[in-house]
Amino acid sequence: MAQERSLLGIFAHLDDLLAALRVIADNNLEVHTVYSPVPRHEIQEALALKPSRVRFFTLTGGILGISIGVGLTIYTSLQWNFIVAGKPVIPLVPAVIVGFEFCILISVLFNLLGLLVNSRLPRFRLPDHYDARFTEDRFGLLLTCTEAEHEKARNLLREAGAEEIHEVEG
Amino acid sequence: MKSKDDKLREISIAEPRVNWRLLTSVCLAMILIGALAFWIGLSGDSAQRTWQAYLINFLFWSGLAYGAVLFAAVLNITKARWGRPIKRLAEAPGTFLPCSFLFFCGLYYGREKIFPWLHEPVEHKQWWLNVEFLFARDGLALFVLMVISLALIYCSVREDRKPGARRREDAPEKSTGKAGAAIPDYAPRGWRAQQVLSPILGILYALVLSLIAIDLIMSLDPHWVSTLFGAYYFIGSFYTALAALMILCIVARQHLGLEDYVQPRHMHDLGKLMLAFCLLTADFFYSQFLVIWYSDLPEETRYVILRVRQSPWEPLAWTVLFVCFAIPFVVLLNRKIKMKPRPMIVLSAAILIGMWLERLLLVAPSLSKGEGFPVGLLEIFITAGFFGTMGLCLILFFRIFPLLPISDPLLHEYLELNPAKHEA
Repeated sequence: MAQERSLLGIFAHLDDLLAALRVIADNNLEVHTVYSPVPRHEIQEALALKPSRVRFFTLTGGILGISIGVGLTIYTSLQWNFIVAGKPVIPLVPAVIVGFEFCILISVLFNLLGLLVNSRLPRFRLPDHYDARFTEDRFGLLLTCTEAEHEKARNLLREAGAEEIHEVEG
Repeated sequence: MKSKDDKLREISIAEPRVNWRLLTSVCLAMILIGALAFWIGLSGDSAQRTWQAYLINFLFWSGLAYGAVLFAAVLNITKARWGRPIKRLAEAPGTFLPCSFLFFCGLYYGREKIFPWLHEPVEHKQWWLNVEFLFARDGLALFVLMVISLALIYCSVREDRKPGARRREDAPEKSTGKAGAAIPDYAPRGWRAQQVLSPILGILYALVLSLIAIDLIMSLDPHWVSTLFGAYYFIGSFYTALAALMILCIVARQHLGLEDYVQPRHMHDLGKLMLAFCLLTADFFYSQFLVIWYSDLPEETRYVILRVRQSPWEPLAWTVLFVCFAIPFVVLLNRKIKMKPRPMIVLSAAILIGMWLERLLLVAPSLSKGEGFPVGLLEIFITAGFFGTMGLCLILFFRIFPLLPISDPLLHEYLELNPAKHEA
């Protein structure tokens, strides 16, 4: 761990950032974070991320929602035990609607929860190396490398078109 | 800023790798078998079953053809760029429309066997449900819709030239591509005409297909009414058309030489549309079903109970529910599978078969009372006849017209951002 160094490259153009990501991937260096003022699917594709874990939150929420919806329908029907126009006491056909609505509601809420958890929001303190221009007009690329690869990483960033390259502590 | 001529890129489509002669003979054979089966069925004692199969096929294939042309119209209305490479494929089933009109006229000869209200007229509905008025209004409506659809297709193809066919020597502002095709004006008149016709087609599609559904399907049980029935039919037809278009896209990629232009992203987008309309069709079905179930009025429920609870229709109803709605929904949720050709062909074929069975489920229980399940060789051969007709129309279209809408300015805009693979 003492050998790990962090470098922050600041890019003005998306294409430079993408070129840098490709070169870094080729050289097996590790990308820690990418800062971007706008969401771009090219960055996502270049990073080749694994599918997000948020989908499990949503699935749990969906299953929970269906259970709550259908359960609520059945429970409230059983409280009264009416037979209306020959229809069964526990109706399946309208339970679909209640179950569907609850499924959507609870899964959306869980999705939001998963988003917050996965992004570790809310963040009360920004990292020290954070540059205010990352929400204006600059891309940032924070990578970690060993002591030995430090110079190589610096050169790769510079060749890819980084405007500034900073050393980052910690 | 590029000049207008630079923007018009050369479009070269690979040669189709298809044995046209073999396909044409197969289609002709199927038409012959269908006609023969129809003839034999009429002369025997299963005349009603024959006409029933004829009606089901007419409804299915016409809905498919009109839905496909509607897709082209929708691309125009929304000025969509993503779908330009598949626009011509969507217009192709439009060649079936004149045949569809003739098939409708043929229904006149089967009216005794098809319409129960001919023999037992319904009192207060007689002014609507009588032979002259029905065939007059449906014939007129179908004729108008057919003319507008064909006009839309004509405007789309008339500026294109078959590559290598002719060279325009004396047109200074038009550039000539390497393939010898005259690349036409950037905004040809045909394109502006399409912009006018497409919304009209959209509105007419909804009105005419609702009318057809009400007159040809809902009137088979003249005492039963469902308000959303027309919409259910035309949305279901659009869903059918999307599934057919998916098959055409995959065939175009693999056999017709369009693999540089029709890319996996088109299959992905079509798959997303298919998911949307699967949900919409199921939703329209469920809207009618829930209302009928809840109010439990005998005049409404007997239609549904016959199809969902009584044999031999109950298994068919469950089959349709699974094959048309449940299975496509689950399969189409996955992102990657939408871009794989083989699963998509299987799924689209299943949807087409399922929607055919759905039309059977709507029509047959009203007509064949207590005769067992009416799907046998007769139905299969007649369906083959209609399938052959559609196939022949498609072959004719693909042989005459270029497979991409070359003169469409939006296609060129699309190609600017997404160059064909062999160029990039």
